[in-house]
Amino acid sequence: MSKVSLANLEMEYMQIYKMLENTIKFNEGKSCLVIGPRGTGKTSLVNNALLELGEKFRNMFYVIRISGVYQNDDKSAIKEIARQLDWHLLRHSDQPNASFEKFSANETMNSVMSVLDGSRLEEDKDQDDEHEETQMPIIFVIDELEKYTNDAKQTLLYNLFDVAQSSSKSHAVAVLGLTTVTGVREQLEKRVKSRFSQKVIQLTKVKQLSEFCDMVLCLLKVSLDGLDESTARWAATYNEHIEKQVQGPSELRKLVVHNFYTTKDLNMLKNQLAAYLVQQDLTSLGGGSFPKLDTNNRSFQVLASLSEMELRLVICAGRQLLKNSMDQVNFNIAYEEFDKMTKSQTNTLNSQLQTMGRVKLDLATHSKDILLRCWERLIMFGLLVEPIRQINGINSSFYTGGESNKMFYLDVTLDEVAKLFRQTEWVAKWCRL
Amino acid sequence: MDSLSVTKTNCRYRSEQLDLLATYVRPWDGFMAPSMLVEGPTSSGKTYTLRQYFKQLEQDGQIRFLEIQCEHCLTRKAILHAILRGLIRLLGISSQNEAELVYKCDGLGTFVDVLKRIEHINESNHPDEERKPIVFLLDRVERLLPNENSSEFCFALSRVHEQSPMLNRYSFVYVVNRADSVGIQTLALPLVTFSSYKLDQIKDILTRQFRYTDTISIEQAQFKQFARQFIDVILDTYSSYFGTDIGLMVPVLTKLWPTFITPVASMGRIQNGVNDVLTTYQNKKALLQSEFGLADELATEDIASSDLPTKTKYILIAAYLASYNDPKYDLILFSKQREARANRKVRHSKRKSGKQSQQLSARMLSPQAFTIERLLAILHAIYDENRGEKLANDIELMSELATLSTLKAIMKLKLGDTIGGGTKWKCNVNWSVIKKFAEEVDFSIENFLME
Repeated sequence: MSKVSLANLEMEYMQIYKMLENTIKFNEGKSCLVIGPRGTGKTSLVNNALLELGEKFRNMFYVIRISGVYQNDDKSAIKEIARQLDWHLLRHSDQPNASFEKFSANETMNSVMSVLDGSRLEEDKDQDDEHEETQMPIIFVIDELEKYTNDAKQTLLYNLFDVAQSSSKSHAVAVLGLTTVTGVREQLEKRVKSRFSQKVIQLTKVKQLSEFCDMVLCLLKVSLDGLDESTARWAATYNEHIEKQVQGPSELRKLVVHNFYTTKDLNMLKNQLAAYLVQQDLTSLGGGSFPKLDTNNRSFQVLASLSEMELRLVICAGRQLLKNSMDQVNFNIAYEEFDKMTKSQTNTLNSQLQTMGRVKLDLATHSKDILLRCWERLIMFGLLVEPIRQINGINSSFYTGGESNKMFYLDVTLDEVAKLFRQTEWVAKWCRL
Repeated sequence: MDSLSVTKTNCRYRSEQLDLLATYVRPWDGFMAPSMLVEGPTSSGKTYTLRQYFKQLEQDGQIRFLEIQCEHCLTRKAILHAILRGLIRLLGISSQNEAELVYKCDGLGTFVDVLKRIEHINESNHPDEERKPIVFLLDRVERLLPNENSSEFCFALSRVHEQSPMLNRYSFVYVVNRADSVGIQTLALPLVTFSSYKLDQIKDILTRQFRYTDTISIEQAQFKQFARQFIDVILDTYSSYFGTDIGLMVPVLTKLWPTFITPVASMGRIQNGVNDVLTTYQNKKALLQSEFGLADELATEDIASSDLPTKTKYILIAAYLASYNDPKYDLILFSKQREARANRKVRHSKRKSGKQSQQLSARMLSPQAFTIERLLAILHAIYDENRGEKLANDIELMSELATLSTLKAIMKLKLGDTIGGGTKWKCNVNWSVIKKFAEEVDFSIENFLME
């Protein structure tokens, strides 16, 4: 892992860094919440601080990471903490059998808490003389903290905040909570809240375009440190070129501005820029194109890839929905309309042919089975969405009632289909009610 | 030639996507995206292209690669186990440890820990081995069981690299039909979008797949031409059904190929007007129009012969009537009072003459729920009238109902209480079957349906 350069976050970085440094140096327990939308650099901020501390205070503190994504309840989180303590123990002692993880979550909790209270490590010291450190500070990083507020008692948070608050000389614990939920402090139970040190670092998305450009530059520029002369000279030209591109009128600028006024998503932009930079000719600093990012409704993309019969079926389903002002449709209904439409089409064609001469055209009709298969494919593509509904406590998907009776929501409307296939003549005709 | 250009020659018409892919997966520069999304409609060559590229990279010794068919796994746990098992084999850890390690993982909560253990074992086994990136290709990850929450799963896997510095060499690639189905937009993962092949491109790809055998005594060039013509003709015939899905085309082409090649094989050469593609097409027109190529032979129109007892058939008919008639018409339809019945036809036709063209037939919609009492009342009414004998209200009738319910021909909508008044039932048999039953017991069911 290496440090990620972040723009405009020096203040926040110093806050976190100082807090953790105090924990390590002076055994000062602290808890802190870092709140901000996705992609604002919460994790990177904390990682940077931990990396720097890791260099400065090598092997003088433990880091334990738990994440609400993986350990989604208190029980599994506490077990994970125990396992990570085991890992640290494995590295520092020769006792392979020592384990904090117990069979039940409660016992595990007890064994973990006993460490955090400082007693167990002292015992360790008695047994293990070469291990001099009596109080190893522990830093907890809790990602997606809001997952642990769902539990009524919030045991995990309560205990962690409690040890952090009552940290003394013998043991120090710092708790860093990362979350995207702005109101997470209000979700804390009152006993938990009272033990929390109320320190909140709020990250927001940037408000000014110029700041956003700074961040992009920070992302793209090369650091000149430690490069030999010729490379450094080249890197300088590159940096200059990039700066000109970002500030001046260019394709790149257009992309940045577009991103700023739509999503302000630096990660998304990064993905696009990566493709651009890779394609660029490094000697002349030119060329390269941006991958198109389609943020359209995915259903439209799917529509474009459908076969003709599937599209006809979609249109028929849409027609029936409109005609009968329903909100759901099943295969029977759509097929009836399909049948009617194809028949009337053949009839018009035949009557036209008859006026010209006496020819009768027998168009190939498609059997219901084939169309049912098309219908099933539409379900698979997600154009027909199954309603999740409970009937008297039973999930209705359990009930089938025959595959052709099952009701579905149609994900597109007739208008949208007509608009999307403006050029195709038959679609326009079929979409007309 | 580097891995990318080799793959480009193998995957036709996909160089644009491969370029983008190579932006995010560049092991030669030491850059690997920890997770990425690949989306595109079915049969646009997603998995094939990715597989070719990663295999090539693996062959060149740059990465290690593992493919997991999530559709076959169904649950998240099964996928996690598949990942771990594959990884253990890839790293050559003894099989004794395998069971123990995989057993330790009982879900996402323990997955990271097991991964770390594997890394640890590997490191102690081969301390000076170069740590190559490992790519996991998760194919069709959105097709898990509905309650398995594949979005949460992808979200978690995308964060594996953040959990521990030991795990930074893993990359996860999710292959999905639509990127919105996994709901991880805010993570802004690198996205590679595939689009459908054009019809010409498909024809080209398929023609390359025809393998020439010398059992057919024609020249290779001639054979190629013949195959191309065959593909042209068949695809154009069925294009409205196929769309651009190669997966649908291949079975049909294999099914129809003998019809076209046999005349050639028997004659030993291709003669225009006798056994060339167009002539055979003309000759076999009836066959091609009958959906012979498209339909499965298993799915026959015929309803399996109904060897059910008459009483059971009546029960099913009654259940159907109860499900598809509004209870408010029950008096009109089934009453024994003559006056009420006399009006039936009149009202029936009156309603029919209304705005019939715009109205949807109830038969098309889902069945309505009914109580068991109503079913029994209707059953008594139609059975007594039609058979001229009283239906015994005995235990046999009830056990018959229970049997039908286990057969899922009628369905109970509530767990627990079976014969309580509040329990609702539904008929689970469709119109064509009921119609057949009605014909068999000589019961004119149309008279009893209000539409």
